[in-house]
Amino acid sequence: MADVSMGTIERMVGGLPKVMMTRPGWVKPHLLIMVVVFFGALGVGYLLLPDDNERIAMLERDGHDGQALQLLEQRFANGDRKQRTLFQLQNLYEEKGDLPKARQMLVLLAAARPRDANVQRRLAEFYRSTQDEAGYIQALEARLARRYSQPVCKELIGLYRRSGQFDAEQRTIAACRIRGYRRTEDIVRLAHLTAADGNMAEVAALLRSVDDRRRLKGEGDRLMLFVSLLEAGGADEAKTRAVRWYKGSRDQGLVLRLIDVLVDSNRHDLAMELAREVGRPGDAISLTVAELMLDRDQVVAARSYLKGWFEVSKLREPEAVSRFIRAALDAEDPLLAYKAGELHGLSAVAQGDLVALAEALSAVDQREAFQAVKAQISPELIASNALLAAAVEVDQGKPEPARQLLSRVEVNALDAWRLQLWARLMTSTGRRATAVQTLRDIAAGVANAGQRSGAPTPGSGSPTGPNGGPLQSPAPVVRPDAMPLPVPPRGQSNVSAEPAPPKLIRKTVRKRRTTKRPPRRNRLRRPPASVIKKPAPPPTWNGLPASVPFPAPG
Amino acid sequence: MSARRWNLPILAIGIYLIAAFGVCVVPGHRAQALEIEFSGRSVKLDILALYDRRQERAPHLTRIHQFAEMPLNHLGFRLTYHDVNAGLPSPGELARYRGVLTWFAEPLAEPDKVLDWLEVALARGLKYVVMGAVAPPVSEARLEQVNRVLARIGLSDHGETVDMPWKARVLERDPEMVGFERPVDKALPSFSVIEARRGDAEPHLVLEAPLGSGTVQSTLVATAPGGGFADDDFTVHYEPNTNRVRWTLNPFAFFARAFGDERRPIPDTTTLAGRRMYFSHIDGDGWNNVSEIEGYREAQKLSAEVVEREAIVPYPDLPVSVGLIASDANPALGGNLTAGVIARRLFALPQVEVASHTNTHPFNWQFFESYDRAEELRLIESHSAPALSLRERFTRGVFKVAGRAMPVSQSDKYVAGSDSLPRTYMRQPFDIKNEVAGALKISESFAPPGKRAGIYLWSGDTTPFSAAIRTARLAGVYNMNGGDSRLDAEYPSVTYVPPISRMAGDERQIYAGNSNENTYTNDWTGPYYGQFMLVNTLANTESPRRLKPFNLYYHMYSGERPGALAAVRHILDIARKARVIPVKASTYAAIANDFFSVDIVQVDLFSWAVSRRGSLSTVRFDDASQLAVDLTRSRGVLGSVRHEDSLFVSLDPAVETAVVTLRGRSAERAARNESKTVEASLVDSRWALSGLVRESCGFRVTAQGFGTGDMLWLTSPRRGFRVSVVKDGKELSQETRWADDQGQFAVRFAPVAVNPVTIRFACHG
Repeated sequence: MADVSMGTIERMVGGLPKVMMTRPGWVKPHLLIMVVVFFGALGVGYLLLPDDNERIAMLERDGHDGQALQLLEQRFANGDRKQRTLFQLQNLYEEKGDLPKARQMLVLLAAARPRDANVQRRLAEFYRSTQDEAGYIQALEARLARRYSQPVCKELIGLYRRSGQFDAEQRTIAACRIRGYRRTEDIVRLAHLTAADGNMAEVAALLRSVDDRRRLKGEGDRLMLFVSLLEAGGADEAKTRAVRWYKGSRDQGLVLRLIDVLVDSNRHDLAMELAREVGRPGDAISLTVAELMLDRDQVVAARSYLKGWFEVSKLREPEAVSRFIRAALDAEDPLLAYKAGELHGLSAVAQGDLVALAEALSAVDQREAFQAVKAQISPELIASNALLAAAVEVDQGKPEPARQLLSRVEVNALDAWRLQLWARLMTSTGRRATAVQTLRDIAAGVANAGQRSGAPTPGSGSPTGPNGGPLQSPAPVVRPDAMPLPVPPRGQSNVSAEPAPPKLIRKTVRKRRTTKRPPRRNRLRRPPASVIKKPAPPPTWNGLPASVPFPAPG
Repeated sequence: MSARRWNLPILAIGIYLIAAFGVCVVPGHRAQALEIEFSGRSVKLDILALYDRRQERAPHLTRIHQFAEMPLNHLGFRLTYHDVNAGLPSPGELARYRGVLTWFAEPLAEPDKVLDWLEVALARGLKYVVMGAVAPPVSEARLEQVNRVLARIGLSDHGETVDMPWKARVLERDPEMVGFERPVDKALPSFSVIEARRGDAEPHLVLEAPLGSGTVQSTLVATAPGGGFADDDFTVHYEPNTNRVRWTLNPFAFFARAFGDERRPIPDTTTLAGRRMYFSHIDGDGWNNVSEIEGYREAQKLSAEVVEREAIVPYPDLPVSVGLIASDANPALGGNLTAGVIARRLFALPQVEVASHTNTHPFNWQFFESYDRAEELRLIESHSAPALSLRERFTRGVFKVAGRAMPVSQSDKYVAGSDSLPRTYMRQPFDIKNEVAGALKISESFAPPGKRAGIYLWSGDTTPFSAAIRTARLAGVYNMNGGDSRLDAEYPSVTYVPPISRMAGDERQIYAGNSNENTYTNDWTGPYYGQFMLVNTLANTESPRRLKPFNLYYHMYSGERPGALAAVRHILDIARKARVIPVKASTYAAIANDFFSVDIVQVDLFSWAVSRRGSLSTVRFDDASQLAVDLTRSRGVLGSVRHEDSLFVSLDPAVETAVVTLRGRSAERAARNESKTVEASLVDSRWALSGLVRESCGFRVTAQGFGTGDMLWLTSPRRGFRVSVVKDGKELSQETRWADDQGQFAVRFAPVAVNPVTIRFACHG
């Protein structure tokens, strides 16, 4: 065995050269080299052949999707779950419209690469394209959980809002905000949702952050911030912001509303400060100062303020004229009220204001002015107001018709101004004694009621305006020399020296604006560019955003 | 005894009416029938829609058209638009209207005039439905008059607004009426204080806000016998992040209640012979594009040919209207001769209806209303054409040297590649006759002799002007397209389902039944499989209420991408299996068009005469689960079928004035079970039926349709019929079948009725 082995080795070592040397006829060295080169080339060629991936890529490039898909499916069936395979399969399935399989591949891919933002985005897009809303929302939530994205936040918030899932919407905006989301519309929306929960401190924080960036534009939003700041104890900050808003927008309506809010929350000083800071002599806001003075019973001061205001005012706005007339009457200066009406043009003054003015002028026996005002009041309105009609008759020297008209007047329902007028007319028609007695009775009644309740009793004297609504007319001017009858002075009975709380009458002088706003709906109720809501827009609806919410025509 | 005396007059009237109907159904007594019809009470279906042209520049751009008209159409109402700035209709013109609808949000130019007119109009008994404000801007001076108008619907406006709505709460909400697609927002908007007089108005949404030490309530949605009111903020809601609109108010319930939901037949444009209509139409866009689909790309096949082979030829049972863009087949304008060859093959197929998709494919129709060629040329010049390739330049040079006309290439500045120019083919000046009538003639020139074009399909923005529509009408064809109906997760609201039509001046454009693949594929940028999602709209417009027919609408460029083609085939396969009646697109357009002319007269408590209905052959009764058609007292009625809570009644197109009489469903069932007669009524049919003639024992009817003729009739249980199909006097088939234990008589015919056949049901046994 050993010999054999040794011989074999000898042959192997020494045999080849021997063979070559001994058989030179058919084995040539160059042939040998060629053989080696040939097989070498074969090997290299084999190694250079494209692998499956390259073949698939080439097939796809050449549009042989079917063959590419076949290869990929084969690989998938053999357990290949590589990202590349799944991705290519998903692409091809999507291209040919095999959606269940495309979805399967994408889900596998997303599960294998949970941190791959591109894959996760692709999955979400696929759900959106295939209208799987639950899957879409879930995919967006998952994306957001991994990484903050402003567009994802916006989309997700919109989806929840659209479907009316308000809690989810609120939660999502809050979560996004913590991570840096600053889209103004959605932060304001969060404030509105939070306000609905009653958390005004949080509302103040939210809106303050928006307003600090000068992006709080909506009147309602500003009002909400103002109120929330007041409720959160930030009255001075509220005032400061209000002043800034006014300087930026010159929106008198908003400031007047804010002043109302301050008055309603018993912050008269702050209201007056705000009015003084933003108001200019002669404008509607500065007129509020006088009204606030009257609210606080500073009649003399208010009267002189109004005189000064009138001197610089042009009184163009009907609403301002109306307010001025009423304030002047309230400040016991009917002649000033008349001058305001004259300046504006009596024919343009509201009929209700004219009636109040005429009554006050008649009460203080300003005949000339009374006649001028009376001429502008419609006969129907005069006829419907017995007291005023009586004043007209007296003015025309017809005591008998006046007497008849006066007998129809419900004296107990008259306010102080009208009582004074009634008393004067009674005197003019020869029934002074009756008037005196009646006034004494009323005064006694008021005094008694005041003693009982500590507050004046409207009762029969419940102040009512010319149209039967809340009192719109002024308190009377007490002029004992001109009016010998015991007419109670403004807010007081003539008998009792007890001052009546000023609110009884004044409270109703201006329209209350607690949670209501005077009808200013001559503006758009929903500005098209509103942040919170837009009028549901067709493609060409005014104020539409640039993108069209409707399917584009083909 | 006294009870009998009380009933005598009613009995007498009943006997008279029964006798009268007996007379009606006897042939040769038409005059008497008419006498009865016109002695009845006309059912008013017209509603006057006021809009402000300064804010909403055309009727189709109004809120009313975008949101309200579809639900109103569904309820059977037809809208006439009127601009409040153009003078309001005289009282004499109001007689035909059931009511007035307004949806003002912006200030009117002359609110006082509108208020004056409303007072006069409403005094004549018109119902008044106000969405938003009555006549903005509201002022204190105008408030009294506004309240006089609102008083018609039991409401009054306090002239105040709650501007701290976060303190308000929903006090009362009618879930049937409010919260339709979206609940009332948690963050309430500011709202006006509207008071409802209980008893006069029925509040559906009431909010309450604190005021001083008390509260104030406001009714923001209400209906009343005189109409209805919905505050603007509680009608539709616009969501800005996703750019979508949804209803808060239920428009179907609201309009039904506000305009009167008395029992009446509703003309229906979705259903024929008891089945949902199926129709398909193809716009020619992309006809000459080379397909990228494997197997076709290698042979450089055009998309149109791919569609022909894959989506038309294999579906002979599903008709399709193919709209050729005439210039696509004209090489001189930039088209391709092969296009004509394909058109010729397509139009020769029996299931293909010849149609036109314009001549030069306008994108922007308004541009051509006051056409200026100089302006068009300026636009052409301003859009730089793509640079010519070396090969193209060489070819042009050769042609120029040879003195021959140059082939049109993509670099041709007169061929637009997108809608940035007014139309696709601009070499010749625009001419409306050539654009419409000329294009129709070109389409017909590719069709077999005698086969006429049936419909004109609008292109581009699909908002043709009045003269264009008129030209199509005068050319003798129906017109269609636009609307882009969607109701799915992407467009999740019925606000995206358009009404039946759009008015341009006095002319009517019929909207397509569904949107095409363009909106599903992001303006053909992909993903191209998007039209698979059409199934969602099809399902959502079928239930809970059938709003639209089944319409497969696509372009020839769907033959370019495998995903798009797969989607089309998927929908075709669904249609093939669905319980639908396949019709041509022009059939649907005719029915939709005739919706607007139907006359309905109520002849007694449960009977209505339906006339002037043209091609429209279905009326619907809603909330009719307990009602059935009384065939013995009806005339021109083929039968009825239930879908959801509605009863769809199939009318015989051959009968000019049909009379539909209802009775209780239980009575109908009992009568059928006990009946020994051969009375049979149609449930549904895949073929359109007309001219039903009752014979001594059995009946015959004319049928026309595509594919197999599946039919279901209702007769007495186990009744047998010998059924034969006759065409041109020749009996094609005959078989005997029996109804089942419920009286359902199902029958299927071979596909032989592309041209009308007569089907005879003769008693057997």
